[in-house]
Amino acid sequence: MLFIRPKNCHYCEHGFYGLAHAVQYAYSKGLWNITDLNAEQANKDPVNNAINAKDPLSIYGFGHGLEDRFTGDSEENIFTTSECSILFGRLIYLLSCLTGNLLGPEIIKQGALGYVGYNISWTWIADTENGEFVYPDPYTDPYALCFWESANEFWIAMVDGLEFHEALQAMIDRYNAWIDYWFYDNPEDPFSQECIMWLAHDRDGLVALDNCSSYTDQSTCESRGCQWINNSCYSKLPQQKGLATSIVPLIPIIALVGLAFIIMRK
Amino acid sequence: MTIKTFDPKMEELLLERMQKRKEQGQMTGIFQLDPQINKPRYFTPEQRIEEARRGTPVGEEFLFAEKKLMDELKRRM
Repeated sequence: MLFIRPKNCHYCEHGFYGLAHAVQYAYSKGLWNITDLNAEQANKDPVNNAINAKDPLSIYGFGHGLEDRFTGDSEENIFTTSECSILFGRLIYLLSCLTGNLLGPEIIKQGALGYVGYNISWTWIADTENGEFVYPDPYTDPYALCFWESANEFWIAMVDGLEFHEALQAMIDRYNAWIDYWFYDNPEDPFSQECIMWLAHDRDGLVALDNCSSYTDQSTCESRGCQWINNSCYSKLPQQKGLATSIVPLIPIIALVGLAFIIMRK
Repeated sequence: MTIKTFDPKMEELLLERMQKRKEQGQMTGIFQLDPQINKPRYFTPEQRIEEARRGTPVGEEFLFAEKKLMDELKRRM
């Protein structure tokens, strides 16, 4: 699992600290195969090197984006429509503007298992002074929290072992829960309508592509190794496994090695 | 990006709503994850209204968001 968290690009401080919560959650769930490329490491060369060296199944990146590109800490391109074949066989979530229009479809065309991103300019509001963040960590910001927590929800749900489509629904549910919060529980806040507006904008700009989604009948879907759920075809994405789950099959081997060691010592 | 262009009547209504929300202190600056050269990633309420009034692509997006707000409020009333 690879995280890309730039810090020094324009207004990237919130993403840097916001995604840190997703990284911490993955660690707390016992995942040990985590590569966290942050700040200056969140650029093209370190990202490509890490993908080649660690071969991560899944990548969660945040950064500025356009229809055809995703950029890093220096705002230079990391992935573009002409340079994304390295994402073959992986699940990609890009929390960025606009990549759902061209880059996402190209990532799928290049053989990725799944892509999640946005076809709009992903927008958030925050407590600011002179256009600067008051709180560096969006999770402590009364307004930014709802945006970053909603966006992180897809990854949190995947780490919890949910299927691709279930994780997507969990994220949409999180956006809706926050819209309900601002409407029903905190309507007096002067910026409650701003939060509702941009949460709805981001939620509806969500794009999810799956390498199985082009199959429209159950038999073709299943014959291609995909799964048919609620009249749609989805990939069977390998689930993220925590340390506890992954170590269980190894217990008999560990026990045998331990036993042999004890016998030899005697 | 798919931007729906509104008919002039709806556009006027949305602009009025933006203006009214600004006057009531209900608008704030917004941040976007968009690296376009010469395009700010932070828009003040005044800039948002100006972009919407000029009908720029980002201004259209702001109107579209305003319409979404109307829809979300209606759905819950």
